Amino acid sequence: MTDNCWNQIGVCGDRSCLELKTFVHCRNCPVYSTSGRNLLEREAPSGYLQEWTNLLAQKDEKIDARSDRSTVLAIVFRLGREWLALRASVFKEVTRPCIVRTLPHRSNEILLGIANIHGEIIPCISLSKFLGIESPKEAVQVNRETRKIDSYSKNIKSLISIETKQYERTIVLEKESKIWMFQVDEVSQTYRCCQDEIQELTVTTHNLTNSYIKGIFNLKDRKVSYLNDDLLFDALDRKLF
Amino acid sequence: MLMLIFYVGKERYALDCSHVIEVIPMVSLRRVPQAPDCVAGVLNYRMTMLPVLDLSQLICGSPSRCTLSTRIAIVEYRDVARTLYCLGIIAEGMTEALTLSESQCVHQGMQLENAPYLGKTIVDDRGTIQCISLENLLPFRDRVELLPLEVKRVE
Repeated sequence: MTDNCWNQIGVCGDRSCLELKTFVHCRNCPVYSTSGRNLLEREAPSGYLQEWTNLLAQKDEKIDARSDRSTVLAIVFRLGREWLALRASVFKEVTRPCIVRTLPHRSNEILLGIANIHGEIIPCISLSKFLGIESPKEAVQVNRETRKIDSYSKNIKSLISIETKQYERTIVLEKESKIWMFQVDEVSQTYRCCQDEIQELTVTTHNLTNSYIKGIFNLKDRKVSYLNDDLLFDALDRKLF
Repeated sequence: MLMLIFYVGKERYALDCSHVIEVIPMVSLRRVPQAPDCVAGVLNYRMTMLPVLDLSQLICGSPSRCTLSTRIAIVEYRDVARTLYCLGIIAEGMTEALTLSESQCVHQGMQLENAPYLGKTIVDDRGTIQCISLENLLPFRDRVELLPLEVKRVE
């Protein structure tokens, strides 16, 4: 094989290379990638060592800022209009919406029933009812107004139902072998936030919902309520069993 | 598991990526007087002084060539007492990481007293790769002792 076979018999040449049948393009061929890697076998140019020595001797502000302050990894999700977040380590799974079967004489507006997740029977709750957040349907109304979908489509209802259905997810939480699941309208992302980014609530705004909220942080243009998972699990345990 | 592949001579060696903090280019190091040959020197790594070992020197007795593919892996590990240690490792041809399954790892059927850092062997389609066990990388504990990470921080 010549040094630059890709220019002669490969994709940049006359394509007569027999290996092309197997690899389709030269970039998939080991000869090509080995030649690429061999470029790194050159001597380091002058000044290279010194430049990197200087660069690495400096304190990395970005890494430092993150590592000096303690951070939490949170998963951000939406219930109706509210954006909420929970510590990522209590998440067992985020999955597609599933069928919830009611429990006779036990189901109520908070405990919806049980569901089968990978063969495991898990109690399903309505987090929005539990936290006293408006139900998703009302929220869709609000969404429709704010997003002004009306003007774009005549068939609003079907559009909204597709839109909300697409993002609906089931979240399974697990902590100290206690497992709960609930449905949310959207799971948006994981976010690593510093402890001091989470602003505490003022005492005057206390009500039922707020007591489960540890604080609020800003994520782009949203305010996200960071839930206290200890309290949430405790309360669920006390109230429902 | 993800393994960082590098070369010592013509042979391939591997380090478990879970120990690797960062792979940085070769830099100039400050030599330490009286240190064994395999200690290439100390590195100012973001205001923390780290000892740097040259694996070529340690394994086959000749220093790593200074090419663009010769790099320093900043690694950390905990010993039995859970103390955190951090050091730099120089090796040639550090350009690749491979995802390998645990089942590809086999014991090589012997343990050398003067090279306890040689761990399991991985077999893949290009041949065999020797894993390096970080905990046993310093065979001369009586001559060089690593200090826990916190001690070396420059404020």
